[in-house]
Amino acid sequence: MKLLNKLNNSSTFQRLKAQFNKPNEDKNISVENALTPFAFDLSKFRLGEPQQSGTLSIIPIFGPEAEGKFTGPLTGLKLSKVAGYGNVELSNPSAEGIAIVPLHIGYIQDGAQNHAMCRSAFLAAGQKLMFEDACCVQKSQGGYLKGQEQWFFILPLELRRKALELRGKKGYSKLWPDISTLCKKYDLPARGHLDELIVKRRTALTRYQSRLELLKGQTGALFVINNQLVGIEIAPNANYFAELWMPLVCFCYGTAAAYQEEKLAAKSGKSQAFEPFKATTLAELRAELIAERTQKHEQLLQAIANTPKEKFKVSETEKFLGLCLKTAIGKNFSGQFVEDKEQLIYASICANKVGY
Amino acid sequence: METESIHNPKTQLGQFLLHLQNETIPFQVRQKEAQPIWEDAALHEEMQEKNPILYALLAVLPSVQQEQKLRVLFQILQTSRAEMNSNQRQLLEQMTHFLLKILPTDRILTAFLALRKVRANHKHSSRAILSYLINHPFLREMLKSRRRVIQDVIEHAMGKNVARACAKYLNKIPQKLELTQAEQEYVATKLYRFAESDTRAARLFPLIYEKTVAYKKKGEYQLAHIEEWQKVNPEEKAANTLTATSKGDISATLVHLYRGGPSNDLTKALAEYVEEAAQTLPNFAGKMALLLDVSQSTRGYGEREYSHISQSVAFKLVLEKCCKDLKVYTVGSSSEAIPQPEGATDLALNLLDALAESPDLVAIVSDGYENVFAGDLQRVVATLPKIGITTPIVFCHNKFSSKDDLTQRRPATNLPELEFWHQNEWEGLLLTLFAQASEVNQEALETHLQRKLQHYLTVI
Repeated sequence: MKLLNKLNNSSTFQRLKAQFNKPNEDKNISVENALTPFAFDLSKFRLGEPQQSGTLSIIPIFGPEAEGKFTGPLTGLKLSKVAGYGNVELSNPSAEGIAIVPLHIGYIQDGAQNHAMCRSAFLAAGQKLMFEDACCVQKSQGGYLKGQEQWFFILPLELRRKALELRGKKGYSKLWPDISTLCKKYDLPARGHLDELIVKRRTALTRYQSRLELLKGQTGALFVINNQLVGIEIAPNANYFAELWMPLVCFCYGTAAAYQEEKLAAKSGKSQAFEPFKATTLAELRAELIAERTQKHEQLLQAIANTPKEKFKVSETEKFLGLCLKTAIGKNFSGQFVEDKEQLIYASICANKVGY
Repeated sequence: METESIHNPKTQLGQFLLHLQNETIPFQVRQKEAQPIWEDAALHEEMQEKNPILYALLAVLPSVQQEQKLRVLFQILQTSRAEMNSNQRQLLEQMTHFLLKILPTDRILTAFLALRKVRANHKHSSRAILSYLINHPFLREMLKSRRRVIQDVIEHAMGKNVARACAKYLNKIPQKLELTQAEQEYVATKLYRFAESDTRAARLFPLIYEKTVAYKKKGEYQLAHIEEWQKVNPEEKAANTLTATSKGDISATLVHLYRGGPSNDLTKALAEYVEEAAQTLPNFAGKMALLLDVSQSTRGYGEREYSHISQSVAFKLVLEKCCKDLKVYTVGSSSEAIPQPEGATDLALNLLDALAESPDLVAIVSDGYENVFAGDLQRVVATLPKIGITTPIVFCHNKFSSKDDLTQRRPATNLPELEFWHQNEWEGLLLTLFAQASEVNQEALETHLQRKLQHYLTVI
């Protein structure tokens, strides 16, 4: 706890919070300019203690429970039918509450062609919505997804920019070339078959939900791979984020982190060397460990602060009462977010790739 | 790592026990070699010299590898008992009897051959060889395939001339010739005193000098020990039918409590199950620290939800009974008696907190997912010898089944690692764990192993 207080009081964190709070105040620091150039009101958000496992680090975000009832993507959003390839109908079966479709959600079912959405959307309680711009993500699989026995994922990080660009465009096979390219990059059979990336490696990928742990009350996270910010994910409430956590950390960011880990392992050999601390007493060891962690926190926050500055093209995409869904496209980052007036409710903004 | 820690007196016995549980290299005897071949001979000798009784008793544990049990058998048979008191001699006799019951015959013959190689002909070793072979239920079958070996070891145990004389006298019986009084007395003194049945011994013993022994069945003698071994080490049930509540009564009750079941009945049952389990488990006489990982990942998900944390908490509840001076450090954000699975996994800082209280032993019970920060525990452990901390620390993997893949779940490969998934494994686990701090716990360890041996002797 002391360490966390130290982290919260660190200059970098204070600076980062200040940026979250007043995005236009310090134009030399680029975090909010890179990711939140839209005057987000983040005054009520705070960061938790970072976690790291392998090449993937996360900084938990804690925010207020958004006003109004927002249903979670697992309990409050169902795939009701597939009306031909590329046409996926989602429904919100809840009696009350709005469903915000997580950006780039996809569904997997044995024996049917898996689909992923290119965009987010609002679904009122009881509403059904046909996504005519969905992508098939299994090139050689026949059959339609049924409403039962599916599990959902978020598209791998390095496919999300392309998927976002393909929103509104019909054509079920539109993402196949990019899936194939990514498979090739990851030394997998080069075909437009997302199974290669997430289903066949599911055992290893699902470990990420244990390797990095969701904290009580957590409503979002910053994702960092190889000390480089790759994503910011914010949910309307803790329940929503809890339901989204596994698909995000395992399949969206886990796929990219696992690839980086494999690269690192190939480079450094199987057994990575570990250096003892320099301490000569138990008290010194404790102090050194804490100092090193604080330094790691600083480095992490600095890495975020060093995210290249860029301008975003922001467009209003959809409205639902006071809620507004917007799309942000920048050079290295892109995504969608939802605001209620100026209060941020949902955000999924990520890098095009690791090493931009 | 092992070489370094085996010379640390605090952990020597514990390291040796881990060696017994993990090393599977066969104990060998070769015709052209003057000595049996076992690279860990010096280690066994050293441990036997320190405490011959505890050394022998370690082989009681089912988790000790068969080839290591064989080494212990050989060692206790080849070593003189001249300096021992009658209680010690009796215990070694019991251990010999136990090991001869549960080890495969072919491997025992190797140990006997090794005794011949090293010319160990103490009374106790001769007695062990002769009683075992003369009374072996499949002696005739063994004579068909291993006659030369049996002849060699019997001649070693009895003396060549004595063995041949016995065979010569007994060969009179099939020829309907009477043995003289002197011959009868000779055979009775040299042979029958080791035999459970004089008639059977008289019939089979001369066969050790028959070049061919007829026997129709094959291989039965090789399985002679199986029935006894299974009484000591029952087979594990198939893992594919496991559920969150398949891991023993205590964790099953906790799973229901975590799921929000009716707490009064469950809480009462829980206390009873803990008490019952603790009565059969070894005790630790020293000061112990337990790092209990109750981070968010220990909640699990799907059908396995609450399985992991329930088994960890079950282990903690029992350990609190077995170790009066126990301090628990919860890794996560909950510190209740029945903690909630919450928070991140900071093993390194919790270990330093524990070490600051100077415990005799530290156990880390975890699912192995370290994230604050991954690698910290390994580095802290690597630093400890440098700053003069030699406290034994053991990483205990809590697994869903014995087949769990521990990839990405081994945060400190420089620590001794133990594993468990079922409550039934706690006895072996605790004995191995407590043996790591044998300086403070040797007596309790010896008492428990003796009790275990006595129990086994009633069932085999």
